[in-house]
Amino acid sequence: MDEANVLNGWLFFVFFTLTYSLSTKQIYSEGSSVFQKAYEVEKTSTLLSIPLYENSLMRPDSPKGEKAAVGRLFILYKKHKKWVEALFLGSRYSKFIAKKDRDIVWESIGSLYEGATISELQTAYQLVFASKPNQFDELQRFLLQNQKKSILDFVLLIIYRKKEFELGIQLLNSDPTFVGKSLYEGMYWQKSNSDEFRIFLEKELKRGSGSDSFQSDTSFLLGYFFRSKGEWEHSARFFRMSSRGKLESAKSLFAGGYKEETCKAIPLSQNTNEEWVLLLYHYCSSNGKEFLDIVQPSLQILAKREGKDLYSKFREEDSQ
Amino acid sequence: MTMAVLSKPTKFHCPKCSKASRLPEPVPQKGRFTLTCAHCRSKVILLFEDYQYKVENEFQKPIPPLVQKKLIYEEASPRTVYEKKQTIQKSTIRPISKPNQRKRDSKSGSSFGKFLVISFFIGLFIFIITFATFLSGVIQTKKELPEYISLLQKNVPTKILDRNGELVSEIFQKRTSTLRLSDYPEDLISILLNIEDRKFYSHPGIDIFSIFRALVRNASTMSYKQGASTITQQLARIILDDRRKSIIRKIKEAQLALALEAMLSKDEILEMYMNQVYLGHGAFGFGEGIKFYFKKNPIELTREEMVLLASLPSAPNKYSPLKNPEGSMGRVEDILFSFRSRGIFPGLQKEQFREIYSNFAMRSPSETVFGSREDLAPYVTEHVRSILNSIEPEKNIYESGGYTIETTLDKNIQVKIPSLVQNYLAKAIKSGKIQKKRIFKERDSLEEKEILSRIADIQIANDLLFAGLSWDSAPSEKGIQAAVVAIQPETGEILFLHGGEEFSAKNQYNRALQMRRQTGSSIKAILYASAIDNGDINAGSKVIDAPLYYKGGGGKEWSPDNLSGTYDGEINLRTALIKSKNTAAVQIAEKMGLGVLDKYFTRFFFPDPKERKERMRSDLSVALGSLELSPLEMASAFTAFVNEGTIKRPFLIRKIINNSGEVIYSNKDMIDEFKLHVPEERQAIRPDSAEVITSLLRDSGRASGVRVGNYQGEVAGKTGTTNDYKDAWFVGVRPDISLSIWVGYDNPGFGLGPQGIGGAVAAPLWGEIVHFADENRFLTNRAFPSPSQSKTHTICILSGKEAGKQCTRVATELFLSDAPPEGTCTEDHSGKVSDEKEWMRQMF
Repeated sequence: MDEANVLNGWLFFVFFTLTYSLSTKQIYSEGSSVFQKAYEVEKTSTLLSIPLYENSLMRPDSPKGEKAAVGRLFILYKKHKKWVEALFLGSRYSKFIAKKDRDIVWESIGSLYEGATISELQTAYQLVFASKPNQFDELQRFLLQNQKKSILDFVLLIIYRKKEFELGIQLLNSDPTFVGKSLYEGMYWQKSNSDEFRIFLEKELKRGSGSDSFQSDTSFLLGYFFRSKGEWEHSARFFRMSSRGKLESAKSLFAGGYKEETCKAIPLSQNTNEEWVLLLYHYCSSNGKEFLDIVQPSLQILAKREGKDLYSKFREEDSQ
Repeated sequence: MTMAVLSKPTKFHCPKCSKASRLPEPVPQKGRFTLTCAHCRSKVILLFEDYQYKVENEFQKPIPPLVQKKLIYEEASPRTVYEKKQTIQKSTIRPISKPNQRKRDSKSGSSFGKFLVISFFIGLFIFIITFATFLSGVIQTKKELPEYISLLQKNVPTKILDRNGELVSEIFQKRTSTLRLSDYPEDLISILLNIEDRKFYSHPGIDIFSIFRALVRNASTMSYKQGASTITQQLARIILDDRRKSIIRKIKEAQLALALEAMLSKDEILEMYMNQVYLGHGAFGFGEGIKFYFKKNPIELTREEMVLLASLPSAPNKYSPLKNPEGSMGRVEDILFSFRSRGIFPGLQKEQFREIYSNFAMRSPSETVFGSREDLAPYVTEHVRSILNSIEPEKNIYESGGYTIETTLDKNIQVKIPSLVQNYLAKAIKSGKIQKKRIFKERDSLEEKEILSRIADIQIANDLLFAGLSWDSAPSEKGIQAAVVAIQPETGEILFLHGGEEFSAKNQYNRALQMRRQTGSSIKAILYASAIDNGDINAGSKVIDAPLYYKGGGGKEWSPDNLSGTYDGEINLRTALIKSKNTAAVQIAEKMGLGVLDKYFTRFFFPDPKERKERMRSDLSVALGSLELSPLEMASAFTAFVNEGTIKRPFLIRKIINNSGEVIYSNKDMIDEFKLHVPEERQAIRPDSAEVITSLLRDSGRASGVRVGNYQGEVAGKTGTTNDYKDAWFVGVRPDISLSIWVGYDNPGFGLGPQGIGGAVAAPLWGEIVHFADENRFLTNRAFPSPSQSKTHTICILSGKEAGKQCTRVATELFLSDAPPEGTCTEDHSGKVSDEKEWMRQMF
């Protein structure tokens, strides 16, 4: 009886040890392989390696691997002018990214938000991070005191990228001064709650306004709405009607299988900081298959983030 | 028999003619005397007793003689002579005797005569035999004379000459003079001969009269007061090199002296003597003596100095003016007295002698020529010695000298290198640029971490984990070292080299040739050149300088970092080289692939398959200088950049000529002098690739730190620093020189400290050396030629492509003749900020 217990104990110990070590190894090697995949893709496309590096940080192999991924990602963000991502990375991994490098990012952002000083933008950024839904008085006070459109734009963008949609909606509705930011509210709803998004859109359409910006923003939001329904043609049409929706229009056309239209929808170039422009450039070029094959690991990640339907045609193209 | 009268007689009567003859005065009191009759000339024996004489019976039997002593007194006139016979009477009168008795007496007299005759002949025979033996010895010695003379040549120094025939160094055990007799002042020769051998030009090698004179004098004083050796005998003694006091040695010496006289002229003997005679303190010959005692050329000697030098051969130690100034002064005074008494060499100044001795008083009595010998290139000397040993392994190079080694060295520069290096290192240590930091092993393993976590005292933990297993097992650390080697690119000739901080008995390891160390970033020049040549990169290529991470088999991680620890994002090749970006190098190596990397490193360093197998490693760390190479190999590899991609095998020795004038080694025989296992010439990269990499490296060289060494010219170069600052490198090349510099500690357990990087430690030394050479016009300092093989393109700095019309930021770069930039830039670089704003707006 005792011997059997001892034996069972040993077997359990061996099984546990093996399982633990194997699982640990698997995680480590997966993390490592993601980094290596990213590095391999980077040799073909620095832009499309970014999603892979981002993914490798979700399960870092080791402090060394994590440091390398952070350092590489930060430089790629800078290269492709993904300033907000660079800011987030700098904040999260301040131990790996030198202050002077973070300052360079702030200088770049400052040059994009005219009328706001870097110091004001930095304060706004910190206040967003300190705020939560129902706890944003300080942020609200700061925005009301400054009354600068550029700072408000920056704050709403940061909230969107932080996926603090509820906070964003509450903030926009907290003061009449912020009215007129329907695009932002619509985007927050679109990302957070499809039903509420639909309700919001109905309200907006009922509210109506003859202004160009209203029409543009509403069309942009409708483009998303129809995309979420899988109605690619409608989606593309509404995006096309928005001043800011050309790229999204092309994406919807692509997802709908309108290759010829897709390739004509926007100017395509391989020297771009926009993933879709690059992808469509190769999609539309006669010898782009090899490129798409190489960046397949990145496409998978992007598809997970933005929706498989949107990227499915790349796979179909690949299988042809 | 007649009885004599009692008073002193004045005359005696001849028994034969009975006439009286006067007795010579004084009349002896006692004894037997033979007198000659003044009239009949007959001999008469008179026996005196108390002044009275009696004529002795002339037939009395004589007493046989034991010792014969004959005293003869003669008077002028009449001629009468006493002949005193103390023990024997020599009968002058035929004795009257019986026939038998006469016969017996006659027989006795003839046997004595026979004895004398036999003795004479035996003596003569022995003399003839001895003389014949001696003569045959002389003849035999004459035959062996060339061999004997060659014994002298064994001490002729082996001379190492530079590219212009200037003496750089000598190899010798004892340094003998090599001057011609005509090189010595006539006064010196004259003084020497007057002291040592006045009859030199007249005796046949041995001066018999002097020998007898010396024998008499030494015998009379019962001590050794006077020598009798001629200069020829002294030379014979030098040749025989036998200090034993034996008759055999004396005979041999005399034979050799006579043989020398027979074979050589007097001048030749004198020249040989003057070049070989020992003058104390390790100086053999007057040439060396002059150098040692007075540090002058022979013609600059004063007469007083000549006298002092000429006083030394008889007893160089006893009369050494350094060891025994009183003894030396006494000897000089004796010589001066002799000169004065003979009326020669007037005007020798005592004051001058005083001055000479006061100068000697400042010098160490134990000083020797070895201590004061100059070796302008001690590391070269050691290399040459090892080559000589390999050519003639059975010979003792120090003894069997007389070789002439013609090298490629430039004495003008070489002579300055040891002091430049030593002073530079001392200065760098004083300023703190070079430190001595013990290197601790990285504590990566779980065991080590565990130990650290448990041991509270970090210092103890450090000691336990220190890379060197124990203090005792660590090799002895000699302090900071440096290696310097320069090659003329178009020929492969080594211009100068130095293998350590300072050459000494304990520091002979030639780091420039024998040491192999990791090269750090200096290898990037080779890597980039290879990648350019293979078409993997071009002057317009961009590299992302960002952290890298690799995980190999067994979970081994590798994350190559930049030395500065910072990253610059997307950079071009020039910046990557100037800032020595490790991440860029690894990425370029990756782009090349290990196979291509291997191919090019094989061309640059290991054309020999065996060497490649033993030394090459196939991993990316090669891009960061993990291969162990010698400073010579690095300097040689860099020559490809200014030599149209070709590397000539380096060499130092042009030819070696033995003492018979035969060329026993010549570089024309295609000898791999440094055992590099490389062909005489090899093409490492294309000529246009060489031009492209040189263009890139000129920026890298300009930013390297050579300016700190006051160098203001152009150089294509690359710095290198290895982990823990163990090695600092700078290899820089110009059309006229490729110079490799290494600074570090022999013991890999020590590093140079955080300031000990190649650009701060090695590059300034490069600058100092080449600045010195340029300043004195020792190098041609040719300008880099205009590119002729590669093609110039104007590229867009932002895209790296051929610049389009819209490109505002452009640069001129060299490209391979058949690999222009990849397309023309079509990017619109204007209004970038507005684009970004638009993009920002579209971020949703």
